[in-house]
Amino acid sequence: MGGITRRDFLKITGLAAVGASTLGLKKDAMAFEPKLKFEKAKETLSVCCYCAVGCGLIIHTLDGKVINVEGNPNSPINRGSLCSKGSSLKQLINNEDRVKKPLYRAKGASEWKEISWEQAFAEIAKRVKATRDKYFQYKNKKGEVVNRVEAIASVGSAALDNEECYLYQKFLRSLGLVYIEHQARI
Amino acid sequence: MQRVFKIAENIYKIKLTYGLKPKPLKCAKPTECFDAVLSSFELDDLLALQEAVSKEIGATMLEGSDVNKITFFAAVHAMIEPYRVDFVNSFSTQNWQKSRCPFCGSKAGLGNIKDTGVRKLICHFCWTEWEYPRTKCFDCGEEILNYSLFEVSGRDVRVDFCESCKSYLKTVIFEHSEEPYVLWDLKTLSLDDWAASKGYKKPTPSLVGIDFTK
Repeated sequence: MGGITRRDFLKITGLAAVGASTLGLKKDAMAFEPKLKFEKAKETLSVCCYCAVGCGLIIHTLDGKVINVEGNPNSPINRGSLCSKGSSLKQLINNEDRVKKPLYRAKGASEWKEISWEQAFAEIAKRVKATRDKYFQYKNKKGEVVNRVEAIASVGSAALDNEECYLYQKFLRSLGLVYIEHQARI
Repeated sequence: MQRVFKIAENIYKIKLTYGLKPKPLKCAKPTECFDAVLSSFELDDLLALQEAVSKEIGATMLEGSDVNKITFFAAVHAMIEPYRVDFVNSFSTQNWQKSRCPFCGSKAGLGNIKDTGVRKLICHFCWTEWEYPRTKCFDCGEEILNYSLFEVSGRDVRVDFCESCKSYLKTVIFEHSEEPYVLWDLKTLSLDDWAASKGYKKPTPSLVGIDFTK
């Protein structure tokens, strides 16, 4: 053993061995037959549409259809976890029962009727105006100027971003609303 | 069939058992490093290791150059293991997020998605694990990742592939505790054939140092 140098060690252990015949080993491994479940799915990053927390999502799609939604473990916001609402996001995407157009049920009617967005906007504006005009207070009981409406309240909206919230708040204050609340207070 | 298991198990065992205790390394150039690693061991230790490796793997399994290659690979593994363990214990890979191994700089040879959804890449050379973004290509860093899902002996295994650099990586979707990754890399060799037939390439050889796609 004494005559062997470190270089010889490399030779013995086969540093120079190239082009291994690995057929035998490969044949063994082929015994584990893989079953193809599906081919060519895609992972895309997204952000949850529900609340202002903005949890990161990974959307799995197969042929353009969503097959799975999970939390993004690399997102510093949620680190892969999702709330119960967020976990059910797949049902928001593939859902026949999802309401996609405004529905209107007239006074006394038992059925919902589809209406256009224009009709819906007009109806909402009409009612806001009527309620505000009816209940607007210029002065309180003490005679102090208050300029407020106590008959309308706003609850929302968690899906808005900072700038949208600013505009929304401005709009509500301009109507004189004082009951302004957020539905995502947990 | 048994040979696949045995080779994987033995390399794993050698890696854990025969970690030698070398002197501190001093090398100026990367090319000198390998010589430096070798010369930092006592020659008798090296020969003992070589004997052990041959005994564990060589005699029972394969012939000719296969034995030499796997033996060499296992020997290098045993040599670098003490350094690697030191490194892994003192370095948090959570913020590493690069496509190269934080310890040796090699590319990934296998991917793993944990129960928590965290994706880890496993170095094809030294088997160090590190965290990596889920939807990024493990090679070129492209942000969109495609995958095909397979079931191999009751477990889910994905083949992740990137359309822009045409490379692929096998990814196992379960925890490490039961069987070493190297075993799963060998068990899923037929997926390498599948990926090659679709025109994709793996930038690294398998976890035992041999490129089976050739």
